[in-house]
Amino acid sequence: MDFLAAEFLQDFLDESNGHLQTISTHLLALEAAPQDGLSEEAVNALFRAMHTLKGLCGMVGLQEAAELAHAMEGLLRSVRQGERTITLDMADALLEGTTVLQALIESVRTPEASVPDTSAVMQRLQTIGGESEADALSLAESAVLPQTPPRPSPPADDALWLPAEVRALIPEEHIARAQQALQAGKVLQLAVFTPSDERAARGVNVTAVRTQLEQAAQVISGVPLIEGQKVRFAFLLASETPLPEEQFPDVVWLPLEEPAAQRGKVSASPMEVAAPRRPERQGLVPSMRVEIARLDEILRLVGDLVVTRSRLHEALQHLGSERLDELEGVLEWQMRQLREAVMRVRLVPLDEVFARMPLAVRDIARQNGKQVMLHLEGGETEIDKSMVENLLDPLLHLMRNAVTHGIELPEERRAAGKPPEGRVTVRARPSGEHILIEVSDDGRGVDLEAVASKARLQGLLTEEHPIGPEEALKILCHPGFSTRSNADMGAGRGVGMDVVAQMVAQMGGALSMQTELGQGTTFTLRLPLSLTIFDAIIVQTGAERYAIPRNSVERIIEIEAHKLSPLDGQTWYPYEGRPVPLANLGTLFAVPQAGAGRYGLVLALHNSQPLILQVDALVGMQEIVMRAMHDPLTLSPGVAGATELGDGHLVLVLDALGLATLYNGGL
Amino acid sequence: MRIERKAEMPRVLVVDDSPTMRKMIMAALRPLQAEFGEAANGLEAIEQLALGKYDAMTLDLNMPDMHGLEVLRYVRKLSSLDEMPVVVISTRGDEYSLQQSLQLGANRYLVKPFQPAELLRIIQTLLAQSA
Repeated sequence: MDFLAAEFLQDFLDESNGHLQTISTHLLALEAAPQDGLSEEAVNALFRAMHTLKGLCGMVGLQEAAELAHAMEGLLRSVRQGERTITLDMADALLEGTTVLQALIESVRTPEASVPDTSAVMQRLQTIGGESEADALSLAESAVLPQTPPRPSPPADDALWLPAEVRALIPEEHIARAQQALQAGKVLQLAVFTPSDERAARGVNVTAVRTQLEQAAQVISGVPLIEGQKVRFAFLLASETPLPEEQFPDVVWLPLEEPAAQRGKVSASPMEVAAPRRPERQGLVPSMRVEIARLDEILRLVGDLVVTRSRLHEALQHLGSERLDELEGVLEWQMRQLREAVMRVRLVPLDEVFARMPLAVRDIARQNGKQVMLHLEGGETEIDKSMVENLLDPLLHLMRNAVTHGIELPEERRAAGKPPEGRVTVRARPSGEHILIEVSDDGRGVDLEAVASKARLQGLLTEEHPIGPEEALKILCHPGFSTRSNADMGAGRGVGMDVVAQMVAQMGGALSMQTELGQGTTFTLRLPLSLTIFDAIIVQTGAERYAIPRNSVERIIEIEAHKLSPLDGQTWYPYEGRPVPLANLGTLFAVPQAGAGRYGLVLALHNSQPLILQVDALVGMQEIVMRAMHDPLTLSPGVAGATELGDGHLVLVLDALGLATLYNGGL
Repeated sequence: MRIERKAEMPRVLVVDDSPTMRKMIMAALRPLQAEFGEAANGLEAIEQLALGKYDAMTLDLNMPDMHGLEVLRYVRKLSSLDEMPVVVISTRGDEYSLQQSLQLGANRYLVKPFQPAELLRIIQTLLAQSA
């Protein structure tokens, strides 16, 4: 099975993730509102997800995972057959099993990591399932699908009338559901879809039609009507008010009234209703799955195109042809459109990451004896696919910290006059060219004084003045900051913060923190929408040119030499009524023949100490394609990557946050 | 866009609600050099079979909305397909449906996890018999 496992590892992981999410969503919903129980649909969805996982795990050789899924599926099967009802204890065991299953599945990504032990949870599942083990076989026997034909004729007082051909195919439990809908005052409608090559070419197939109908109404049943080689599909729908037929150009509606006797037999047959001409598609959004590698290829080509265009721009400048310049301007605009369109294709909603949160929070809260309510907002916010994958770990880290260190124990919260159940909120929203993601808790807050004194003890902080939140965050994110005695620090936040900061920085983002003692803490991740193509300001120092993302520059000012004031080995410059330190790029990078620095770029550092970057000349602004530099020998603080300018020169792309760190001497 | 197919190229419909499983099945059958159709549920399978000519089909049982056995029953109603080879590929736990599958006209029954080589051999044999 090895070649299948290797070739489809990513598919396997992606799909398994979806199934695990389905499972945890339903079980957590049950746990949150046990009085509501689980709907039949929910039980079916749970069962099917588990069943599919079992099959997939088996195919990739995850024997233990397949066994575990099999055990859980067995329990769900008995629930589905109505042999037993799902109890909270069972839901809990299933959640525990799901967590282990998830870890087992994740372990294929890192084969060297230790594989979680399944024996405890298997034991638990078997104990719960024990009593039904004996009749597993009889269950299986009865699991045969309902026998469709022949069907007894409906009761005489039946208010539901369906064309005989359709009626004969719809399973009895769907008929019952339709009757319930009628009694609840709903309207029933029958839509018939005829597939064709032409429709299929437009992406209109039976699943697309069903999905479209499901968005507007409850689809009670969908059955194929077969005559010879001809196939149509009938959908029985229930809704509050009749659906506007013109909104569904690809289906034909059949009346649900018994026709008058003389024309009854003929027109009631769905096979003989001619499809009337309808306007072209409307409202239906066909979609397709694309391999990420193909999108990356397109993005790479667009990147090359951007470079070629800026070369063209350079070349044209010497020609002085107005017509060519004009065309080149149009080309630039169109390239930008193209780039944005490609970027949009790569955007996926954050829901993918958010869906992983509830189960994780529940687990962490339990392990720590905390009561936590998780709120997720803005899951529809879209972000580049490559970032979604890298975002999961930092977010999980922040959430784990919020629960373990932020939220207090229930009795502690009561004593502080807070509700015993803590609240963790993850909120995402777009902000210009950035995405903001906040992880906040209403816990005890970070004790800045405790962090400061600890840092002084460890020699990370020399000054005696009280520290602010951004300084505290820097300390918390320092890899050398010991986290061993977190417990006695009360508000300790050290766990893995250096990893979080590093991952966020790698994504070109920034991390900030607000905190109030006793009230809670908010961490904000600020991430760029796109990682690779953006507008940059080209600057020059000495003979060297550099690019800096436009987004990282707040303002550009001209430096007037008489306003410089040296103090404490730093140079300060008045900006917006207060002195701000000046960092000379030439000095930072030891550029030969660097000038005095005529221009100052006020760096956008968000919530951090402001900094003005001094450069000799401004060359211009242009769209650049950043290439990441992975070689650790060439990686240097303050440098995010490299790019090729239109004239073929390779220049380094500066990273504002890194520059500030470099200037501040590392910490 | 329709692709003109060579006469010797068999067409196989792969029916499974798991996209990964469909890919794995198609990978196992790669040596056939077949043209593949995919369906993620029963209605899609029936639609595909009505629109295109297929020489064989693999069929999952546990799918949303319509059980594989139900699909099989409908497939055998389509006039041109009463003889088409159908291999039911089911997951352990569904074995009880072996009997029903064969009664409803499935040609073979395979349990996941299956050996790719075995699936390939089965389809090759069935295609050769029906040719």
